[in-house]
Amino acid sequence: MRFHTCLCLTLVALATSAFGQSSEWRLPPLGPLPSFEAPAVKQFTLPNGLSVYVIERDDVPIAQVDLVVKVGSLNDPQGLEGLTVLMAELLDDGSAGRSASTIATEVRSLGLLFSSSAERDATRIRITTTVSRMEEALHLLSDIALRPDFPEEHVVQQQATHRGYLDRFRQSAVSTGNEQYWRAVYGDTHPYGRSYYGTVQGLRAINRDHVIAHHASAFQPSNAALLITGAVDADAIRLHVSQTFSNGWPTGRVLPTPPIAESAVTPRSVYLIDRPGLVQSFIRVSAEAPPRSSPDYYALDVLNMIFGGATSSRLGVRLNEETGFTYEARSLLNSLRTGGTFVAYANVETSTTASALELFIREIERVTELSQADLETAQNVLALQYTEPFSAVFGINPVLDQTFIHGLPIEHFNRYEDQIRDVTLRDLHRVAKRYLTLDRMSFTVVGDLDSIEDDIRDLAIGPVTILTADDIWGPARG
Amino acid sequence: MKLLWFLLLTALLPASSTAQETGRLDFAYERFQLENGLDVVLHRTTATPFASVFTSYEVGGGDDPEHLTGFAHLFEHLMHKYDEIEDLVEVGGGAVAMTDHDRTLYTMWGAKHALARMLAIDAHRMVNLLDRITPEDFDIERDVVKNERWERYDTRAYGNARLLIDRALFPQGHPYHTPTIGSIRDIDAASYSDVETFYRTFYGPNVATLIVMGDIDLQETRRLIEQFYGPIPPIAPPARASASTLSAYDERGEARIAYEDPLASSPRLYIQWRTVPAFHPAEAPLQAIVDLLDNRETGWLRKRLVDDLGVASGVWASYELRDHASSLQIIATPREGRTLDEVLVAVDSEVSRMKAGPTEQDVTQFVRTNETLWLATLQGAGNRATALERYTRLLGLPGYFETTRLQYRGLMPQDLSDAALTYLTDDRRVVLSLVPAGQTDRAVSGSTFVTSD
Repeated sequence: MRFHTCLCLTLVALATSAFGQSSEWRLPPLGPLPSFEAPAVKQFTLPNGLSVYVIERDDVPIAQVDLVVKVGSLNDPQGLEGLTVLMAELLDDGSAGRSASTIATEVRSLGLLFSSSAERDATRIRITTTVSRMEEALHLLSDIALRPDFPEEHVVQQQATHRGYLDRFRQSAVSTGNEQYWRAVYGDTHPYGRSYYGTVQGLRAINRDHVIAHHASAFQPSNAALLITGAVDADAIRLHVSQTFSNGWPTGRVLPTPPIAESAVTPRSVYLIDRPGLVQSFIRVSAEAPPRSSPDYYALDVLNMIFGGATSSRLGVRLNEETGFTYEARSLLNSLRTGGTFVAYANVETSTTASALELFIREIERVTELSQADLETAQNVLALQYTEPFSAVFGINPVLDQTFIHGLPIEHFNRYEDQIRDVTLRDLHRVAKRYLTLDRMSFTVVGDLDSIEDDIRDLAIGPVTILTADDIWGPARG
Repeated sequence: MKLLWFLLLTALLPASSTAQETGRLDFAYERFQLENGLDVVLHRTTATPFASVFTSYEVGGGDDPEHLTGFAHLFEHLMHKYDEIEDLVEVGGGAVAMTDHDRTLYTMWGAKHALARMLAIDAHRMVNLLDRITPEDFDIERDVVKNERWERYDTRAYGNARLLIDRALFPQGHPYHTPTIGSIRDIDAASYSDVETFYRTFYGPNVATLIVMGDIDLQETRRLIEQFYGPIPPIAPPARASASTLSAYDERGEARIAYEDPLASSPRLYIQWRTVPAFHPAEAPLQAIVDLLDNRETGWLRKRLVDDLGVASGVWASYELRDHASSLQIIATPREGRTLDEVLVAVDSEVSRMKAGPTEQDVTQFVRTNETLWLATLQGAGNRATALERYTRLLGLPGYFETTRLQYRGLMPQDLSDAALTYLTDDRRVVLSLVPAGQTDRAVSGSTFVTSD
């Protein structure tokens, strides 16, 4: 990011217009930063422990309802990898005696947008509805979430579909690079080390009884939250929710949260994956990151913004603007329930692979070269960017549900800016040394090894391992 | 043409629409035109302290100079070469741009206190860009664009499908025949001297539509726009393809083509029909057809091809809106052991069912679901601005939202049947078989193999 010393800088540029006239161009000064109030959250808990969050927003007559449970692929039992996502996608395939097609017709007749999905940390069922059909939508949601039937033939069919997805990921160079950057940090045994779709072997081992048992332990009211945002009245919602979500939850025990994940990074390890003839190399540089609930999170969030969080951050300037090596170079902080990853990435033209890797390394080495201006600008950026999703109903629940999933006080939702402003330069130096040193990084490159391997080895970054698809994804048809 | 479609649409509206349970869908806006021809729409929303500036120019990939495919898009990248644009990140904002065949849309957003700055930058690059671009900038950006082409098309399995289909669906000379991303050869051939000619030909206030929305003061915004854009002189209107010159390209017979994809490990079938220009009366029924064929709950294609017959492992339908000729596309992946010919027969039988007509319940379900989706979509600033831009640029009617809604609510099964019978015909389509390298026998029968550019 090209940080200027003062945001209120007035820039005067003299320019000759395309029409031959000399025109003085005065860039208008910026006024004071605008303030932002996150919308008020009305929060209550049902006697059974279900947390309910309501945000009233009435610009368009719709509402979005999310039922979130704190069970993700993180909680897949060993040997049944892929169980959580499979369970999530089967929820509306039959419930409370109604067939999948009856439910589908009901969803369509009510004009609802429906989805159910799971990722590493959580499972989500989402309904978007016009507010006039809210009551019916809540009834349908509770049937689907709490009383699914998981018909045998659908379980079998869905397993085949997910194995098909894994086959496709395995063939894709991009997916393979992304899988390996997680695997480089968490190894083969931890759930964070692999796709949340699991493994071919895990999927094969799953039967309907596993799905039913997993659902029963996932859908416990004390482990779930209902988030409703839109043109609704919180009091009316409270009544509807009490009627639909007080009873009928499955009998089961809440799954324990696994302990904080241990990083499995081999310092400076280089993993090469051969894709003969590929015209670009896909570079992924990854390291362990702290959980979202860690006190280090906000400092690392700021540091990531300076390093590669925006296209005009340091990485983008080096690899895109100054050299044209790539269309886009960025870094991401994926902070999860019990761990996370930091990843810097770019897809670069094959002949520039080694030069691009050198630029990644140089930027990592100088990550602690930080000024007060770097800090303040990144704080402004993050504080303002945070407000952006609030322009639409569909942007709000995904921000709000993070407080629930990570067990954070509500201040982390409506006082995000304060958390970011509290970060100091000293904090940045601390987290840089703790998380973003070269010794904590691993380097994954997918590309045409005939063209790039020798140059990469010449860089002498660290131990080089050549991986096959089987190493990363397991045997194809296990 | 603008007026014609509007009259047709109005004529098609039902005399009394269904109950408007959610009231009229009106987004208040202010529209005015500067003396130099700049068309401006202001729209105030206050949910967040942001403002956005959307400027579209009537130039796209369809206007690429001969033998310089991709130039309009490469040029779009140069409009970004302002340090001041990067600085928008500091106000929580940013800038993106996109070039399609019809137009180029530039977007800037940021905290509302940066609005004057955004407008100043946008006006500056409308007239003074050449002062900012050096030959070195151009060379770097050309490498960036080549990387974009590789990243988005050439390094992905099935990545070239879209380019191959456009080439077959639209004949040489049609603005949609060549890809907006361009060929690597043409991108390499472009030079700094082409930039000036292109800029002077296609960039000016009278060929632009400016949408400003967000937490803005309407009066002050208008004053700023007059100050920054007002002095910019108009350009001579550039020659562009018009509806009348393009109608000759309709109905040219079915094309069956095939391509050996070095990155694909299994075959895939693409069927794409040329349909109608934007805002044509058949647009709504065609979009309804896409939804009935492929929606998450009751999509006909998945039910028939995947669940009942088991000939496909996946199938998708979509509709691509373009100014002169939109298109309807179906993509299917055969299940192991099944052929693309079998998949094609199964798709055709579902399309025939559509021609026979969906049920009233099918259409009612579409109308309700579509309205929920549309309302949800319109909340996002970018989506609403895109709608305002299309309504303004193509119809001259920024407040067309409610009319659109009523038009969809008035759909009848017969409308879908008529649209399918008229537009989903063999002579309006391309059938593309994408097969793994060396597996030419897996293409649909009667296909001619083609190469990428």
